[in-house]
Amino acid sequence: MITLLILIPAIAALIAAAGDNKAQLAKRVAVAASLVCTIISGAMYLGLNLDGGLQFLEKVPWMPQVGVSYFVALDGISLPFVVLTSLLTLVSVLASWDEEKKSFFALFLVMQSALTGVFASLDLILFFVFWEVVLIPMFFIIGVWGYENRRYAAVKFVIFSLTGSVLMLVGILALAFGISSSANIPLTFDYSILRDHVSLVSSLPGVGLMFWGIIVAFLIKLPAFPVHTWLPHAHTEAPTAGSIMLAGVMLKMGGYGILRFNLGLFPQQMQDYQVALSILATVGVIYGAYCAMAQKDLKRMVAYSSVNHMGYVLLGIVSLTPMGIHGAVYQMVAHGLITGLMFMMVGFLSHRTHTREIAKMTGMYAAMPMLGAIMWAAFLGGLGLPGMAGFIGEFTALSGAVQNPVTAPYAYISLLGIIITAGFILYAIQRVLLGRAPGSNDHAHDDHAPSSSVTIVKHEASHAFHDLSFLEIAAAAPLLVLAIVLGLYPNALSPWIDSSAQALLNTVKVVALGVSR
Amino acid sequence: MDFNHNLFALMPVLPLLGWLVLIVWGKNMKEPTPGILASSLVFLSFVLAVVGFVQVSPMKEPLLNTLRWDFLPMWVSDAKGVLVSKPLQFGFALDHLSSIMTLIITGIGFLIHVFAIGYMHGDKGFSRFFAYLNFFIAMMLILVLADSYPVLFIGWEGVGVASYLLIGFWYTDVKNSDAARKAFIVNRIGDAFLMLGMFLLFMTFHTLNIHEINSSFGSVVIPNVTTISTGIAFGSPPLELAALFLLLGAAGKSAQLPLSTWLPDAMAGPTPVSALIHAATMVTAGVYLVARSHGIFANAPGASSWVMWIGALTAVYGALSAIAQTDIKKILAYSTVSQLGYMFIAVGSGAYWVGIFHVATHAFFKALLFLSSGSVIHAVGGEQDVRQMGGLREKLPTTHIVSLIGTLAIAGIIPLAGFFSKDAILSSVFTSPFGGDFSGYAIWAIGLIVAFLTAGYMWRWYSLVFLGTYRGHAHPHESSSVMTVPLWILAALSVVGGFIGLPHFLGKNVNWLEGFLEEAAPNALGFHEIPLWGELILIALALAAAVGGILFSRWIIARDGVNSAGWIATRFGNASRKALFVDQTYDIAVSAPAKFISEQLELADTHGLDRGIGALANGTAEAGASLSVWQSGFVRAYAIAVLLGTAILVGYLALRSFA
Repeated sequence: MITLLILIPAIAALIAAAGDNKAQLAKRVAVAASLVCTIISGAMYLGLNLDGGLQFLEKVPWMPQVGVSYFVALDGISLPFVVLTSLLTLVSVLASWDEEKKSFFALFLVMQSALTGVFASLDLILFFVFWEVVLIPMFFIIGVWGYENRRYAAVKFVIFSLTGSVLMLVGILALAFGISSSANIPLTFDYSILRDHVSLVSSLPGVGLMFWGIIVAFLIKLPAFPVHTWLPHAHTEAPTAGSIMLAGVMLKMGGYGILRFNLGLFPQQMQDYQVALSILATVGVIYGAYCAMAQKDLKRMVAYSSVNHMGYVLLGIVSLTPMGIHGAVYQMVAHGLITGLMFMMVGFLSHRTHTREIAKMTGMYAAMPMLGAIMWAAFLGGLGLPGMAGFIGEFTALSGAVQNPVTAPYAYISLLGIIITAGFILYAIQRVLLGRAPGSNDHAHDDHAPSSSVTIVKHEASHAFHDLSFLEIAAAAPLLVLAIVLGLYPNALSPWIDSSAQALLNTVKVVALGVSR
Repeated sequence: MDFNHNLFALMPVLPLLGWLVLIVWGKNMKEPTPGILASSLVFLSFVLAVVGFVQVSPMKEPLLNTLRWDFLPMWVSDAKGVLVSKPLQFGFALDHLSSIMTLIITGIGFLIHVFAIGYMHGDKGFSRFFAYLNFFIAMMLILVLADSYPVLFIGWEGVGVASYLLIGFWYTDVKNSDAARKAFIVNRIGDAFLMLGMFLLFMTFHTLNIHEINSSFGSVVIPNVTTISTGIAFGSPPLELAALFLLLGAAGKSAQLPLSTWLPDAMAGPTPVSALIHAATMVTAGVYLVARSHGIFANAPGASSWVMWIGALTAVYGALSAIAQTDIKKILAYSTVSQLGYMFIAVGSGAYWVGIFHVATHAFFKALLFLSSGSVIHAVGGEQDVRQMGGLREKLPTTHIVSLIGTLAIAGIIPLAGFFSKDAILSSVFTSPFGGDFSGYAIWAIGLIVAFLTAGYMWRWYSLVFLGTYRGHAHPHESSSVMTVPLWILAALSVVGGFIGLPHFLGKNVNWLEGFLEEAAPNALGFHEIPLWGELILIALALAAAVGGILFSRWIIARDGVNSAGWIATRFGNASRKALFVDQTYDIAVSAPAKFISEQLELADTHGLDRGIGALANGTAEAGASLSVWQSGFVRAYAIAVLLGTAILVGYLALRSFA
């Protein structure tokens, strides 16, 4: 089943690449493939046995001499991301229907295939291979279809990622060699086997370096402070669909990786470095929010808000409590939906206004009510409004962090981020959405003209902005609906997360939690 | 499914449906269909509220709906210290306290909906307006019906969003949307504290269910009360701290110092909004929160005395700021701030029913006053400056009469509603168990001064609008009956509303409200007794303050006329008009630094951190380039990676084999 999820988009990518030059075939193949994958992975999601174990196992030897195998399986933590990958690919393709290059769609399909592989691989080398493959399509999507500074952004993205990858590879190799020699077993990269010997990890020489080598790659992807600086560039330059995938799924590779490999294989080191990681998380929350507040470019603002949101994820994970880990995974899924939607709306908007500068847009709600309303909802979701998925994620992640005395102070400080987030989100809503629609003269209650001296986007007539098309609404709807459903009925996701979070935490020594009665 | 248990849970669902329908199809509806639809749904909710009231009246325990589901996944440690999953449920509870609130929200909400059909006539956003109003009612009902803090928080933030949408309703005006944003952000500061409070409560009680927390007092947790040298008692630290955080959350929503500055600006919204949200319902949510958390506050004497003091200071602040305002709605807005301060005094004193009593009476007369000023603004063509009014007594006879009733009611003239609730507040703070002797008497004295000021500025409001001769240029006309009928009903309530909470000395069981709330929000323990003559003196003094305020105001206006900028010295008048410069202080102390920090960090991010890491990367890339024969940038980078990786790996393995 999992192999199917990896193969379908890969084959579809080949078909798309061989299609006609107008990409008519390519986009249809892309929609069909991602739709089929969404349905299959959705069915797997519903069919998952919530006992916490790995399911849909497929294991074939690949390079048996060095203990590498093709080992894929899913559990309650990885499956939500696989569904998210298929869904967001579908949505991204729908959102870029005007694109006329077939390779664009082929690259998205390749990316979908590789991302599915990342979340499903349980062989460390296989994981690494998929991890690297993900880079390539994204590099071209930013570098070819991006805005003015696309080359700089794309190269920066790759260099950051590769730096992380190198360190991760070293960490993986060292870990595997270390375990095989100290447990006296043949060299293997099989996650299950390595995890069976997790008690040996702490005694390996240089284990701290291994831990940091592996986690740095994930922290870069997450992104955590101070290795987040590639993100604003990548997002600002990436085309809309690229940003959706980048924020929606690729950042989650980082959070997922920390959970699966750092927490799974280095439980003791997670505790040893708890404080350092909490500080990074807290700084990310507050620093990301402050930076977002200073942005003049709407897309960059949303990008920095991701730094803020992912800070909660990291804090939730390092709390090492069931609630914190639950919150982290929930927040990642919620962020994928809500921030994906935010980027989509910003993309649709700047496509129409030909600018992303906040100061140059005003009255967009009056000009395009549908786009305005959905953007409004997405932005409110982004500030963690209760009733939408982001709130559940933030709230449980922070509660989890509060439960652990070590991380509690950082959780309290992080609450400052919630206020600042409201500041920049409302600022953006006000400047961009509210105000008089450009070109309209009817404003019954408007005696005070806006005193702003900035040139507002000019256009010939009031009909120049067309509201969302049917296809664009179809692309936005699933994200919005899911964000609300998950905001009110968390049981659609929580049991899945919990089943596997429990299994992961089994190896963590019980920490003193809470004030007991 | 148990019908009887879930009927009341329909209350928020109906207006929520109205919102959905109006958002989706509202544009195709002709005026006044959206207004009628929205009003009738709120009326249906009111009917449900009445049914719920009847249902719950004889019950001792709250009525819980059975249709509930897991909302927040939570883990708590059991007796052995093992974490067990105990999800928090999304559920509603109706008890005597929430029942009173639902009656106020849906009842007054309905009247204001009807009024708005007339008031918003001809507005381009007619259906949008009613969509938002319905959304607000739904969220407010969720807030009061919630049986846990997180569900309450949904409503709490939801009303914030509704208020944001409605303040900025005429969103094409930058000033209005500025006001809306300010309101939301100041509220958000309070909300962050509320979340903090929730975390502490969760850590202390291992649950966030309000009824479980309240009922755990007296049986499980006995607060360790210590008295420090000042005579102020303190409960256990986590409890006091949690209560303090809840207080800060409540202060944000209820515009208490230091989070009070948003409310006067919020008057940028249409007048029915000011009446409904910024006078009668939403701003009282903070009072409700304290009353709802009575178990916590009753056992946190320290935090309770903070509640009283914040209330007292806010009451003075609001009253002083109201004195010299010239905008017909701003006077009422600062008056609301001040009256909310009164409510905080009441709930801080431990007499929770008194706070709710004043919530109710204030809802009657302040909604009445706001709608009356809406009627006046409507009549004089949008003018809001009281100096451009006057002499409207003959031209708007209905509005005049009801405004007079409202003015006397808020001033506290016997036997109107405000008299009884204000008297109850003053006597409860006089006898309060919290804050030591000094606080009780000092706050009582402040309350008395505020009563004097209230009567004064309200009489000024009334005189400048209705007495004398008309100074404006419009042609005032009385509003249509769709607007005047709600005014009459509210006026009637302002007259008789006080009789639900008659003072004790009139006989046993005359105080219906206190008895009704005995289970849901019982008084804190330890109120002092005062003799009958003492109580009579308190009442006489309160009445004297009210009458004195009116007389003083009459005298000043007779002496200085309309254009007396404030009645007292010019310098004070200026301070009052600027609301004691609190806003300006915030700009200097909070907004400017926040902006500065964010700009500096952004500079640091792009020029410092990014450049630094960029330089590191460039250095590596150049080193790689010199080693490499590859030309393309991408492949080159890859090559460095592989090279570096291999080098490090080989180095590591080499070291390991020597080790």
